[in-house]
Amino acid sequence: MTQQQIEKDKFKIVGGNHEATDKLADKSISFWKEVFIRFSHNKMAIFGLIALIIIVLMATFVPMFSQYHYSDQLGVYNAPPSSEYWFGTDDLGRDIFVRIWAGARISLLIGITAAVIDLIIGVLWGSISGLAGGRVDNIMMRIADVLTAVPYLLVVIVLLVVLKPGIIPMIIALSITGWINMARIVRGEVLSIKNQEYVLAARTLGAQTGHLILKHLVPNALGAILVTMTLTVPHAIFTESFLSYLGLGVPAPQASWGTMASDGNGAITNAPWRLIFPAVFISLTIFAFNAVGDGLRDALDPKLRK
Amino acid sequence: MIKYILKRLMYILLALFVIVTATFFLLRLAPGNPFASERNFPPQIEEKLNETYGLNNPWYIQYKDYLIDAATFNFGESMKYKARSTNDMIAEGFPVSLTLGIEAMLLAIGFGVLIGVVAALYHNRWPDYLATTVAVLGISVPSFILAGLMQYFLAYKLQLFPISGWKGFSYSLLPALAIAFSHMGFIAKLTRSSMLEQNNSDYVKMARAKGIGKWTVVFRHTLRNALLPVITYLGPLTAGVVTGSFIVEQIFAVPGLGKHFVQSITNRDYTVVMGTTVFYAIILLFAVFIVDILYSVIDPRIKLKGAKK
Amino acid sequence: MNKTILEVKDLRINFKTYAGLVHAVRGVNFDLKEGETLAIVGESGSGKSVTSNALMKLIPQPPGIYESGQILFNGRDLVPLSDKEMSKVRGNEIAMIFQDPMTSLNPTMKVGRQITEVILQHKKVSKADAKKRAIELLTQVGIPFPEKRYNQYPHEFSGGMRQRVVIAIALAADPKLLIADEPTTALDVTIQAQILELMKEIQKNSKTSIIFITHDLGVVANIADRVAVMYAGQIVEYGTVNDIFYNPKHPYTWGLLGSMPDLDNSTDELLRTIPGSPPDLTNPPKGDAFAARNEFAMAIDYEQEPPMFQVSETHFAKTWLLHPDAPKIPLPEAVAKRIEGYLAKEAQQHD
Repeated sequence: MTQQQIEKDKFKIVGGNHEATDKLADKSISFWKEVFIRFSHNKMAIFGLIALIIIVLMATFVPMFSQYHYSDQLGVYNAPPSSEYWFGTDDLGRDIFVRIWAGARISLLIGITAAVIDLIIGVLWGSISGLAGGRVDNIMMRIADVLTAVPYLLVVIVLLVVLKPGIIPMIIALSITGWINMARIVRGEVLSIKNQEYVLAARTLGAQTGHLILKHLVPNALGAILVTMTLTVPHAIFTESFLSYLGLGVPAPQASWGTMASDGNGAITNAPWRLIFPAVFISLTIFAFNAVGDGLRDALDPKLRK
Repeated sequence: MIKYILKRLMYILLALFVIVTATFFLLRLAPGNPFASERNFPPQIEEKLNETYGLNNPWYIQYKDYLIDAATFNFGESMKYKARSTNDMIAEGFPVSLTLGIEAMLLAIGFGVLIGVVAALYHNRWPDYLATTVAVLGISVPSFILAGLMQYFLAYKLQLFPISGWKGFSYSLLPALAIAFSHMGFIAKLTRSSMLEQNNSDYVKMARAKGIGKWTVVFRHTLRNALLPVITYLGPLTAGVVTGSFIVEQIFAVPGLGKHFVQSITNRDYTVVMGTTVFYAIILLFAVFIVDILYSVIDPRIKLKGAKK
Repeated sequence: MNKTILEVKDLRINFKTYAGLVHAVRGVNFDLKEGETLAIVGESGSGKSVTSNALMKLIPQPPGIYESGQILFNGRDLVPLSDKEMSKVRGNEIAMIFQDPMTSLNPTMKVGRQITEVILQHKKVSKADAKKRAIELLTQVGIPFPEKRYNQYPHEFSGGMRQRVVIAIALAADPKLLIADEPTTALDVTIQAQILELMKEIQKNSKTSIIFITHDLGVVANIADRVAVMYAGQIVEYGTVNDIFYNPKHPYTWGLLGSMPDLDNSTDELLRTIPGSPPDLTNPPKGDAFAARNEFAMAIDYEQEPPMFQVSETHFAKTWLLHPDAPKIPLPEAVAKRIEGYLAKEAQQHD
C-alpha cells in the first residue's frame, strides 16, 4: 500500500466540535407541527380531507345559489341525469343535484351535532369519573359498562318510534350511547395525567376542578378526543341512513341522504340514479371521515408505524 | 372461572332488565295505538280489546305483568295479526335469519382473514393496495345501500343472481354478501394490521433465526397470534349481522325475523316489537359472552378471575 | 492452532428510509476462531446489531441492502445465498439469542414445542427423541422440573428463566456459532451474572464460538477473548481483551473505558462522558467519524478517514493518532485510573 504523503501540520491537535453534533438532536418543532407533517404524508387521509372540504363547500353554497329549490317540483318526473338536471329528477319532479346538497346539510348537521353532544357528555362524564376516582369512578364506570352491554340500536329504534321522526329526535337518538366511548377515552387520559406533578402543583395552588379540566386535561387529551370525534361522525351518518331505511328518517319534504337513498331503493328498477347518487355520497363521506380519523390517529401516535 | 361466568351472567340480566324496561316505557309513551289504524271498532269491542291486552290498567300493573311475561317468554299474540302468537312468528323467522346470518359471518371471517393475510404478506406491493382498497370500500358502503346496488347491478341487470325471495341456496348469496361485505372489510383491515404488527415482533425474527421457512413461520407462529384481535371482533360482528339483516331481508324479500321486526315497528305492533327485542337482546348479549370465554380459552395468557380488564 | 470459522470482509450495509439512504455498516472486517468469544462493543446506533443480524442474513431486504463485502462461514460466502439456502444454516450452524426474553418467545406456543421445532427442522429424528433432547437441554441450561416446564407457556417463566429457554433453543441443533445480541441487557444484574456463567460453561463443553454484542464493558471483561469496538458503522479498535483494557489506542475506546461507573471510589469525581451525539449516518462525515467528539482530533481527522493501524499482532486501531507523524498522546490519567480500579475489583471478586 502506498503511504501517501500527508503534510505534517495536518497532525496538529485541533480538538472536537461536538456542539455541531448537538445541533442535530436539537431541532425541535412544535408538537402539532410535527403531527401535521406526519398527517400530510398520508395520501388517503389527505384525499379524505380534500373530499370533505369540497363536500362542505358544496353543501353550503349550492342550495344558496342554485336556480331550483330542493322542494321545487319541476314537472319532469324520474328523468335520468342530463345537462339540464345533473343528477336527474325524482318521482315528484325535484332536481336531485340540489337535493343532494340540501340533504348534505342535513346529514352532516346531524352527524356532527351528534358527535359534539357525545363529546360534551363524554368529556364531562369521563373527566369527572377520572378526577373523582374511588367509588364515584367505580359507579360511573359500572353504569357505562351496563349501558354498553345494551344493544343500542334496538333502544334507538324504539326511541324513534316514540318521538316523531325529525332532525332533533334523530340527533338525540344518535348521541344516546356514543358518549360512552368518548367518556372511556377521556377517563383514560385523565387517569394518566392526574397524578403527574404539575397537576398536583396546580391543585395545591388552589385550582378548582373545572379550571383543571379546561386548562390541563383537555389540551393533553385533545389528540385522542379529536380522533374519537372524527370517527364518530361516519358512524352517525351510517346510523342515520339505517334509520331512514326503517322509515324513521327526517320527514318530507326535507331530505337527508339517508331518506333519499331509501326512496331511491324503492324505485331502483326505473330510476337507479335516485339510489346511486346518495349512495355514492354517503359512502364517500363515511370513507373521508374514516380516512381523516385514521390519519390523525397515526399522526398522533409517537410510535411511528413506518 | 366460575366466578367470572356468574359475574357476567349478572351483568347480562341487568342489561336485559334495562332493555326490557326501556322498551316498555318507551312504547307506552308512543303516540298511536295498535288499533288506531284499524277499521273503526264499535266501542264495546274496543273496550274488550283494551281489556284483553290490559291497556286499561294503571301503568305499574301493566309493567308488573309485562315483566312476568318477559321472564316466562310469554310474549302474547301479535296485536296486528290476531291468532298469530309472537313466539310462533319468532320461531318461523329465526331459522331463516340464522341461516343467512351464519352464511354472512362465514363469508366475513373467511374472506376477511384471507384478504388481510395476503395484504400483510405482500405489504406495499400490489396485492396489498388492492386488498386495502377493497377493505376500505367495504367499510365505507353501508350494507343496506350495497344490497340495493347489488340487487340492481348483479341480479337485475346482469342476471347473475336471483333478485329476491328465498327458494334455495342461490337466493341466500346476495343478501349474505351484502350483510358480510362491510364486516369483511373491517376484518381484513384488522387482520392486516395485526399481521404486520406480529411480523415485526421478536418471536417471529427468532423463528426465522431457527431456520424455519417464511411461510411455515406465518402459519405456525404469526397467524395464531394475529387472529386474537379478530376473535374479539366476533361480538360486534354478531350484532352487526343481526342489525344488517333488518333491512337487507326486506330488500331481498327474505322471510326472516328481521323483516318481521321491521314490519312490527312500522305497524306499532307492541307485543311483537317487545318480544323480538328481548329475543334479539338475549342473543346479542350471549354472543358477546361466548366470545369472551372463547378468547380466554384460546389465549393462554388470559386468566379470568373475578375481574377482567 | 484453532480453525477460523468466520471471516467478515469489508461488509457494507445500507438502509433505504424515508429520510434517505442510511449507511449503517461501513466496511467491517473481523474474524472468529473455533471456541473463541468475540465481543462487539458500541453505543446504540453504532451498527453492532445490524452487523450481527447481517451475519444470519436476517436483515429485511427491503429496506436493507447488502451493498458489498463477504461473510465467509467455514469458507463459504453467505451473502449470495438465497433465503431457502440460508434456512439450512440458521438455527443449524449459526444460532442467535435476542435481547428481550419477554418478546423473543411466541406467547401462545408451549415452550417445549419451541425447542423441538428447531431440532425437527434440522435433524432427522423422531418426535419422541426430539422431546427427550429438549428436556435434556432444559436441564442443561439450569431449569428445574424440565418435564413439567416443557408443557408450559412463556408467561409462566420469569425473565431469567425465559432467557435460559432462549439459550436452550439456540443450542438445540448444536450450532458452531452462537450470536448473542445483548442477551443480558434486559435482565437484573444478579441474573445477568448467572446467564454469563451459563454461557461460559456451554462454550467450555461444546467448543461453540460466540459473538457477544453488548454496550457493557464489564460484561466484556468477564466473557470475551477478543473485542471489537464499533462506532458509526465501523470497527475502530480490535484486539484481545488485554489489548483493549491494558493498552487502548483509540480515543473513543478511552471514552468508553473512562465512562464506566465506579461505585466504590471517589464520589466527588465527575462521571466522564463523551460529549455530543453520534453522527447522522444518512450523511456520514468525510473524515474520521469520531472527530467531532474527539478532544484529540487533528486537522487530518476532518479530511480523511484513517486506515487501520497495526499496534501488535493481535491489536489494531483506526485512528490517525497512530500515524508516525502524529503527536504521541498517552492514555489519559482518569481513564487509566478507572481501568485500574475496575480490574482490581474484578480480581477481588474472583478470589
